[in-house]
Amino acid sequence: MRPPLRPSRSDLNSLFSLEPPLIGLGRGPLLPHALSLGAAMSNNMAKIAEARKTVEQLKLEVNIDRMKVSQAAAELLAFCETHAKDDPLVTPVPAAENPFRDKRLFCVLL
Amino acid sequence: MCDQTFLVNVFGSCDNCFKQRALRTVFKKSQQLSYCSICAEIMAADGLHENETLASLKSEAESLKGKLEEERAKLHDVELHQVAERVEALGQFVMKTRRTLKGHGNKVLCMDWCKDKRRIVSSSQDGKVIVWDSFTTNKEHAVTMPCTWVMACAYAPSGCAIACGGLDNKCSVYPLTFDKNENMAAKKKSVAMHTNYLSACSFTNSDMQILTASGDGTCALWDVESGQLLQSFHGHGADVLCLDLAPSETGNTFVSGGCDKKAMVWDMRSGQCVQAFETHESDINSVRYYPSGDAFASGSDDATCRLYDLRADREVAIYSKESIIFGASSVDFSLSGRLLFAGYNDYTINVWDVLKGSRVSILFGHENRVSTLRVSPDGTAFCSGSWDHTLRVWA
Repeated sequence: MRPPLRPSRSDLNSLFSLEPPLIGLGRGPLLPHALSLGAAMSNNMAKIAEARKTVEQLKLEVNIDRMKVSQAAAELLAFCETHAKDDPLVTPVPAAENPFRDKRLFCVLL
Repeated sequence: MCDQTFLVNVFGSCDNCFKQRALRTVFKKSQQLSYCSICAEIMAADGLHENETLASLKSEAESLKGKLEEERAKLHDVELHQVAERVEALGQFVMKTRRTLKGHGNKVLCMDWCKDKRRIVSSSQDGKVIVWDSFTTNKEHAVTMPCTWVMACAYAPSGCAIACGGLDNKCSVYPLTFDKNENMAAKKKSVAMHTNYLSACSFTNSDMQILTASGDGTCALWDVESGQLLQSFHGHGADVLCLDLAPSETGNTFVSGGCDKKAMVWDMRSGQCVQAFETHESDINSVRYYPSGDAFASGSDDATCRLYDLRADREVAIYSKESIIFGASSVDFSLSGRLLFAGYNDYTINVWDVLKGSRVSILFGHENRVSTLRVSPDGTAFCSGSWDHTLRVWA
């Protein structure tokens, strides 16, 4: 196991930087099949394999069973309605039962 | 532990090598066969079949995409908000900040609730991961990670450990101990190794497995004890920014969203993508399953949140307003799924009526962008973390 990294100069810079890490500019996914089948795979073969995988994936997606939106929507509605009474944010519970709402304390000065 | 059902794929004898493995369906010269994942990879890398060139494969892919849209459109007979017209409107919505958790020295990037509905773990840009008691606002544990930008943190289901990671490309698990003499950092266990930053992590139903998403475009399932990679999920064309596991009753799937504007639903056993949705116009920052497991919501930099139904296989609602122009960084549902809470980069939190598609309320309070938002396990409150260094619990 690698020992814990000490912050490098670039880490210290990023500690104080206002910029978030470069999201979306990553190298992209590795092609596992290309690597595992050795250096004999040329770039063209890798692209063809990738395209073929995309075609296979799309064929699978086209062939799944789908439900009509009206029926799916009706089921979403039914779920909401049956669980609405258990949802403290939809049907408010008394403040005493909500641990985050402080009870008002009355100070009686005698 | 392994009495879980498979969603899509069968476990059996591969049609090619005849070994007993988890199988996936492949098409060979229009014939449907069941291959194990290794044979499927080898078949995909075979030399050119007749009449296949890169261009013909690409045009076939385009025509399949068109066909997919057609099939989805055929079942689009009504809109969700039309069906929801008969549902009662929600009452007056009043939510206020009930607790403010102060203590982070820099932007709060991620948070998670413990199953005890009380403890919260949060991580920030300065490398600190803090466990809070949200009732009393006390800090119970604090760990300093050896990297900055800790973008992911998660609480274990047992409440005995936390996982976190970020720019170090790893996901580390820390067991939580109440012994004051023990140094938490000494017990750290490195579980996941990616080739780019860690953007999201989540324990599965037990403390033993962790699902991670990374800037290298992949998601992965790891065994915590041995650090072994159990399954990897390839398919995103760019950084994966978020993931969410299906609620336990509905099986072994999870959804991930990335910078390629796609939200993909995966089968955890086979590593295969089951469904993909590409209707957002920008990076998807957050995905969350509907409580029933039949749908999921996503929040994106295009300033909209969208609801996708998994059985209708399409987007069924968009939550947007012309006045909202900043991206949504984080979304979560209330317990019944009626309300969708979304934190935005314009420092506000919008509360949407999921069924009717209308905004119920706007919550102000944070002084910088809201980066993370989670509803508590019992639904009584939700917590939001922000770049203004604080977390707020709203109820």
